[in-house]
Amino acid sequence: MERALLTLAAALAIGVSGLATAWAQSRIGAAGAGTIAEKPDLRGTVIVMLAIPETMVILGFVVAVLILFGR
Amino acid sequence: MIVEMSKVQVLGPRRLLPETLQCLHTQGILQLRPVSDTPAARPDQMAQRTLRRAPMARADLTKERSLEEICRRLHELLLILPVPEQGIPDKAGLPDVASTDFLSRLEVVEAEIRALNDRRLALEEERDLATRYERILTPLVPLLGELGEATHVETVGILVRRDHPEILRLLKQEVGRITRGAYTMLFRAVDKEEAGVLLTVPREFCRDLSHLLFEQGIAEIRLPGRYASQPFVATLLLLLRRRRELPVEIAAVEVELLRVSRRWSEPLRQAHRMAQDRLARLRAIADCGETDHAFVISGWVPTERCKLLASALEETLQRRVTLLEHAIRREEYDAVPVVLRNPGCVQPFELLLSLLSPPRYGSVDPTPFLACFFPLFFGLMLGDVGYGAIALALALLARKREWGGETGRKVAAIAIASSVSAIVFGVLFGEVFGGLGGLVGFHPILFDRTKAVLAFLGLVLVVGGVHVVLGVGLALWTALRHGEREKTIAKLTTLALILVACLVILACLDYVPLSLAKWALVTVGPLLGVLMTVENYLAPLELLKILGNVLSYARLMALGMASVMLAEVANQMPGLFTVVVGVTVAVLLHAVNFAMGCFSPTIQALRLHYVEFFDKFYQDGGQPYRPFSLAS
Repeated sequence: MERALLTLAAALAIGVSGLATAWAQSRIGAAGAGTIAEKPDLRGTVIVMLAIPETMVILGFVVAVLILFGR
Repeated sequence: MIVEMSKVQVLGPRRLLPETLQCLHTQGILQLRPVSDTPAARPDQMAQRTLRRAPMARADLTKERSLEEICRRLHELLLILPVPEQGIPDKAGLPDVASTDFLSRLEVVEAEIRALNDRRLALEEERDLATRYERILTPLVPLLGELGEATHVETVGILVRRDHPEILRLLKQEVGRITRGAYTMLFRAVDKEEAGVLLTVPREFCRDLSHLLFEQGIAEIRLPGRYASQPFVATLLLLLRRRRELPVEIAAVEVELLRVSRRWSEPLRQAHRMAQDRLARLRAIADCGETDHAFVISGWVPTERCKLLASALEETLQRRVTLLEHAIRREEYDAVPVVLRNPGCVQPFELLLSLLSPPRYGSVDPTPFLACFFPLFFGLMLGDVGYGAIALALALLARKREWGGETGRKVAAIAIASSVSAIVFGVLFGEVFGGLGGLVGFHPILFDRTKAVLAFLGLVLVVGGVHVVLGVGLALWTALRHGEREKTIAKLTTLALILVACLVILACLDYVPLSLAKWALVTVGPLLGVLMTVENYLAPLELLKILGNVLSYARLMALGMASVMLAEVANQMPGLFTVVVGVTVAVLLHAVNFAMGCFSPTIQALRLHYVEFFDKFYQDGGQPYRPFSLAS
């Protein structure tokens, strides 16, 4: 039972943060595509902006790893 | 590194301005600075009254317009002409663009090229039309025999959609009513969507039939002007004949254009460059300043080339002009152009920096750090001998074949460094296409990424910590160099607080005595006080940001694990299916993993640099160096 709860917690940690990242990236990606179409010289900034929300899922991943292996 | 620049002024008698500009143009070292932007001209009101922007003479304005027109015409001609093959071009030449007979010679050449181009365009248009109508009319050819040779009838071709068969029924009814049954209708499919219909009606009903088709919105096959005046059958035969003839005629015109290109491409290109150079010199006059008797040209020059420029001016103008070198003030840094110079192995990484605006003059050029850490991060993520070897082979092939020109060469150099790093980490992690290396006795030297998850996480966090601290260190060095006391204290305090955090973590992991960590913790309060004093009360939040930055490097481990796990899944495929299917699926999965393994690490390594590392010290907003140089 404890193992199942731990696995569920790890899945939630990465799943919810993954959803949040996906939602943020969908918004930033759409806006970024429009930005690059109008000003191609801003592509570097757009890549940076697009990659920023990934921190959420990475942190979720770290939490999941700690839940599963950190004891 | 950022090359040191000098602010220079070239002074001389006013009448020597054109000669001086020509000399500077030939040297191609000086980046001009418009005289209105020259700070020296602003504070001194007296100087502003006497030093003015050099006006353009009426004759120069006319010359400028004429050169613009010549440039436009030459550019258009060069676009029309095909690129001639390498070899010895036919001898031909054009007079100097400034000479009076240049325009008359250009007109002759232009007329010849444009005539050939117009002929080619007309033939290509006719070929496209013939191709389009051939598709529609060819299926109707077999029907022509059934129409007979009556001379008092007219044949009309129409297109109808095949998914509405009722159209044909209604059409038959209406045509029968108009012609009182005196018509022939033949039908044949053209393609999946459309059918061609040949309608033969007595000539007197032609007009009514056209009205009917127009009202019903049915597309009548309208032929191009030169075919339309002939009978339908003759038109069809002519179209088919022309369809065969046109490619030959187009090829003949293209051969002729190539012959003309061999003769005129190079002279036209030279004339274009010459015209561009003259235009640039004329426009440069507007950036110069003058008094009643003297001129002033201001600009930026790499310091190491100042002497070269001075001696060139001295030699060309027999010491009648002077070059003055001034120190650059800190408040002028935003306007100073930036030239990056790095060793050959580091230079390709400037490409990765070019995605952002260049570093500001006086700040740090991060290219050497990119060259160290980008391949390191890539290797940590991909970390597989097999994938690394394929990437290396592709990169070497790209370099040998010179794909993508100069940019391709830089990308290949970055790819070579990154794939070598992936091979090295592959050896350390004991991975060849995942765990396949184990079959031939290949074992991890450092650790197995699939099992030692926490060790891998620890390794990437340490690497991240070093990277972030290096960023803070570079910010400290910049502050020290610029003599910014408060910033220096703030960066030193931040580094001290990071050291305390490291000691606490190491104490928790039993690597250092707990007492040492306790002593270190005592200093946190005073250090935070100093930080808030020299910056602001929100400064401690920066420390939390640094912690978040370090944790962000966990993505190196996340992507690395995902890569090795996908490789493991691919390796299990032959055991799940028959050998042929299993191996095919495994190869496909490895191919997908390789593609993802090359793309994702590149993006993530860039992001770690742009967001986590550059955020600490990088000052963007530098101006690219654009010297006043010849196009020819």
